[in-house]
Amino acid sequence: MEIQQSLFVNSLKEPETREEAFKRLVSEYKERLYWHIRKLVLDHDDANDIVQNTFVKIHLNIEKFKGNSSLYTWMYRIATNEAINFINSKSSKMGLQNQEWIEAKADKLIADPYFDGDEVAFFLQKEVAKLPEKQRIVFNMKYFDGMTYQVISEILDTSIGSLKASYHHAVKKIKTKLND
Amino acid sequence: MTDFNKNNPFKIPKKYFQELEYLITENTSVKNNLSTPKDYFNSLEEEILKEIYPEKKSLSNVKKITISITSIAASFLILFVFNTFEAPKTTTEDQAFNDYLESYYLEDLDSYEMLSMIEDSEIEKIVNTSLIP
Repeated sequence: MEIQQSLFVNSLKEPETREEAFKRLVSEYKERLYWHIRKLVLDHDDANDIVQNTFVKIHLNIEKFKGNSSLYTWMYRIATNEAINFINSKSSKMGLQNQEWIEAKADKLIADPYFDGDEVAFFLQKEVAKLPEKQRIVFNMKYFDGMTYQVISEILDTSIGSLKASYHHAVKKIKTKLND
Repeated sequence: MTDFNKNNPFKIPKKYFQELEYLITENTSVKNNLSTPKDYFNSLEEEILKEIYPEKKSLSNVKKITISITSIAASFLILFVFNTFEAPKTTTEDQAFNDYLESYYLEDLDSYEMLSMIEDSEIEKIVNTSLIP
């Protein structure tokens, strides 16, 4: 697996094979990165902008990928950073806190043509939006994507203990709200 | 560590364990009720590749020669400028990108965000003030 990855990374770095390898990379990861971003920003158009910027950043910085982590976690980390920077930028322009901006997005989901959830799903998204940023990211990755703590820990560069605590707090808050 | 392959008569499909993690992840993920426009992922791939590899237009010979001459002239000019005014570099590009990757939880605003918070009128005022001798 590691040898396969390093061969693929080499082909991404070599000028002669770069374009072909990058096409394979986009084809392989576009959906996974899109959904990761979409759950963080909720809106399709925003997610579309961010996923494109993410791939541009990956392309521009592939030379700097040293192989200390897997290519997959490195790309997820870029996608997460891009999504957070986007939220920071949009919310500060509107004079809002990040959480307020996300909550406003969640409130609009019910009228979003690209949201097909019922009232319970809408309520769940609204409660997730109320979580502090780190808890929200961890909850999305664990609950919706079913990622292991090990993988989340590599992507977010956070200890497994801290992730478990974040997820536990998030679940507790949401359960309390759902029971009310 | 237990040797699972010792006297093990069973076999598994090729690359099974590599695919298992992906399958588990896929099956354990919960429906998030978010959807995309029809055929979105097909057009997304095209959009990304178009942005990174814009279509190269064929140029006429005259244009090619003009561009070559201009490029050579520009290279000499850049060489001259860099040799004359080389400023000391405080951070390398590598460091900047690593900082970006590690700054995931920093709440500091970057220059774009700082700029976005300044009103246009304020920028105009600053520029006009700095122009007054």
